[in-house]
Amino acid sequence: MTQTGFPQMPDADKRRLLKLTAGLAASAAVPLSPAFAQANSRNVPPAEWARIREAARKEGKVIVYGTMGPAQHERIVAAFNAANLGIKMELVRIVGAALTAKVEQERLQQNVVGADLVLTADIRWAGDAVKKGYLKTPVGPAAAAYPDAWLRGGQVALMAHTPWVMHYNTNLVKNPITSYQDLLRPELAGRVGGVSLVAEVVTLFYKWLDESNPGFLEKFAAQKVKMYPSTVASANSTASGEVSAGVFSVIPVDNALHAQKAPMRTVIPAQAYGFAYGSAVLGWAKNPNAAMVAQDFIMSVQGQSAVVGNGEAASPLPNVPGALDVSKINLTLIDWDKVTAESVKTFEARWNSLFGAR
Amino acid sequence: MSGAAQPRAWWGSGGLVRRKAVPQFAWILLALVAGFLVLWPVVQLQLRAFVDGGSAFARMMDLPRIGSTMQTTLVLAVLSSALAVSIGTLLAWCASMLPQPVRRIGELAPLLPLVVPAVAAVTGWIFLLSPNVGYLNMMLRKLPWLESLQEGPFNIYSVTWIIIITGMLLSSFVYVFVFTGLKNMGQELEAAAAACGASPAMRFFTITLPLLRPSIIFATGVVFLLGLGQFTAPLLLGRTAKIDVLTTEMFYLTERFPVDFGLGAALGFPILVLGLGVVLLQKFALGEQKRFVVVSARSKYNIRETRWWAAAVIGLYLLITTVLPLMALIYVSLSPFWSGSLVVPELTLRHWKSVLNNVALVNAIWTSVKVSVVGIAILIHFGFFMAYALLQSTRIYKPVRTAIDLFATLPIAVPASLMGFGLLFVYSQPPIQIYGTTAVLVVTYVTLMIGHSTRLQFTTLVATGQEFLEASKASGAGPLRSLLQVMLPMCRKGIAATAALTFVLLFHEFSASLMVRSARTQVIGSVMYDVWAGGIYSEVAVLALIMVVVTVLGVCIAGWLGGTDSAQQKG
Repeated sequence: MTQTGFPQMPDADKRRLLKLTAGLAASAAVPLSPAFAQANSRNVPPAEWARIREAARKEGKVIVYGTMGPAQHERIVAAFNAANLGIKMELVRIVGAALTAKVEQERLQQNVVGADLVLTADIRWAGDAVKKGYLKTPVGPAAAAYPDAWLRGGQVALMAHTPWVMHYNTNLVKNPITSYQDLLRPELAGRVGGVSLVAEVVTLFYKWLDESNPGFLEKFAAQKVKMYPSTVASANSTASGEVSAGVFSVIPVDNALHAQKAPMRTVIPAQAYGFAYGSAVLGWAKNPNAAMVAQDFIMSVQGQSAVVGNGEAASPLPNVPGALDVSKINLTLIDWDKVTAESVKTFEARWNSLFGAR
Repeated sequence: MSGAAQPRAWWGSGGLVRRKAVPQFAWILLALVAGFLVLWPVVQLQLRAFVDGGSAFARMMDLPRIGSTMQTTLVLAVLSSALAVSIGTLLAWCASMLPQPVRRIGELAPLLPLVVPAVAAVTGWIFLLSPNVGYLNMMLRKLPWLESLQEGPFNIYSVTWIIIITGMLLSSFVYVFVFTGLKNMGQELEAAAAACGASPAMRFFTITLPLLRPSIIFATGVVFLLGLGQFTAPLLLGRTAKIDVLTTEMFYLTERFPVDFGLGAALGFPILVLGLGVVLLQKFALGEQKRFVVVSARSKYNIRETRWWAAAVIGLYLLITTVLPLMALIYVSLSPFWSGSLVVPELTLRHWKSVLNNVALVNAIWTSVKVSVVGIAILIHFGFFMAYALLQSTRIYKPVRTAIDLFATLPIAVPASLMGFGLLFVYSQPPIQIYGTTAVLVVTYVTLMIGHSTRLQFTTLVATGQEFLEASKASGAGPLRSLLQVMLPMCRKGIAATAALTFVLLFHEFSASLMVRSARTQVIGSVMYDVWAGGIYSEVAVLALIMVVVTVLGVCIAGWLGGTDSAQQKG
């Protein structure tokens, strides 16, 4: 599938989409163990919710660390602040694994005024955090209505699932790229960009690419791929023409460049691999009530609408305006239950041997 | 016979304890504070490298491409410092031959690259020399003999260009030292050589250069240390091409949890040993104080011919190091996105608005200003007393003075990135947990710059001379009154120049800031890296230009506070 505008969800497909995403989520987001499928009710009485909201208003602000695209962050902040909840959202963008490092550092040094809520792609860390009791169960009306299958360990709200896409510069590539194999064309040698292993999801993408296309990665490495420190950096380099094509991007990042009329085309592969972000309230949050209100907002239709933008990502909720229609994409999401630290480390060594470290 | 009454010291003229012990105690306290600031992070960190039987070194040797990383670190240090010394010396020589109409501005011009932060200059160079879409590369490909090229001719993402950029960035420092030496050097020997028929080039290589040896050796040591700890260019240029140096490897450790401080210490160990070796070599080669002595007597001879081509060389240097990168930054900051096209796009202020409306970015800019100003306020006082202590040859116990000298030297010998890594280690755990606060940035800046502040103010004190102080004391003023009413007013311009230079160094600080920053306690350099890593190049350009503007303002304010010519005094 090759396109620059992405399918949005028509009403007729919404029920079907819900089934599909729930099915996809079933492998990605099953409760970690009976102990964590705890009966933590996300549904609190109205009086209790009113108390939380009032306490949140007194806290006045919520600090969020996120690793989504800049445009997504801007939308979330704008939508939250526009909701007039009496809380100001401060969203700090941290690229890749550094987000986990910063959050863990703050856990160890709790005098630091740091994150109350995280929007992370590192779901293995989030799953471990549930097990270790680092997170809080979200509560509130939207949290109560959130599909169970999309709550990892009952505490991490999975959302904004989206496929990884390729892209190419239309000024430089005249013969359209439609598959990963097309990136092996001789004329693209030294002119393909990638993203270095800045986060575990990036490692898992290359791992999937390797496993689903035997022999591809060796040939791809032989193309002398230029590695960038983030998806946005890679996409901007394709838009500028520094490289002709990129193997790794996401629709929200590419969309920001399409909006600026960059000469770039985004390609959703026929067999696509993707991931979801996880939103979670930290147990050591300095603004715990504000974090809970913010989490509930993000889990609501209004919040999800800001997250998904204009067809940039899908939502576990039905009736979210602008959500990406993943029913039209042959999409497989990361199965986090099969991801282990050892498997990631083993593949990193293989990647390093092919592409050079980092 | 009644002897002249002993002048009363400000602490009184009591017993031995009050006359001798109290002031010594103050100096000991100063040495202890400086020692804690400087030694604590380095020693604590390095100890981590040797726990578990030195397993950190084994982990270091297991790192992919560690051999290549070490080799690149050394090659970068050697070649970039060689290049910097060559360019800086050439510039100094050219500056000494400037025709009268352009002399004043021409002498100042080689210092202007210092106003552009390294991170901004490197970003500007990326826009110019990116192999496919660098503006300079694209223009060069329009030349008839290069039009067949698909990319290049230059590739900034290479070791060669990391060395060239680093060398150019460091050449201003060499110019400062060599030009000062050249200006204070008598020209009698050159005049004699000229009378014997030696050409200007012959005189330069056989007379001037050998006489400049102390300045050149000192400058070489300084830029070698800076090259050894170079971080900005390898980080921004090396990542795409997978070129690493030891300091970038250390930085990547801070991006992962848990941070392997032992491994970071092991990575920093070779740099530390080499850095200390260079400083000791410098001391051995130059003697302890001679390098700071300013020869004030000017020769009556001025036999150096003036040459307009010398002005052209300096102009070319300024064009390459400052004007071109700044033009690229301005252009990209006004473009919708960094595009590989020489056709001027529809210019926009969107990225300026985006940066100025971004609370986190604006906070980082203010934090930079605030932390720099607070840092300077501490450093000027601290450095002044450290320098004052170094001047006291007999009044301070030698071990205390030696310790103060060591603590003023160590921060210069330890690269900022390594020091930053050590500071992250010690201040993110008990007993002093200040990670994530603005205080850690202030402590970091004071630790990094205490050596510079001391040395610069030491130079001022030496140049001011002891005669006035002695005269003041002979007239009955106590040490405190002599200090406040005689020395300080006389040193005002020198102190202002130190403040200006320190502001430049602090506001531009990148390496250590990137190590110790937390997610929300950021300075402009660290957020600029985040924006760069995040790939929004137009916003990077905006931030780089803001850094330049604030730096110029800061230098102007410091110069104004100290007097009109203070900014030139150090130069």
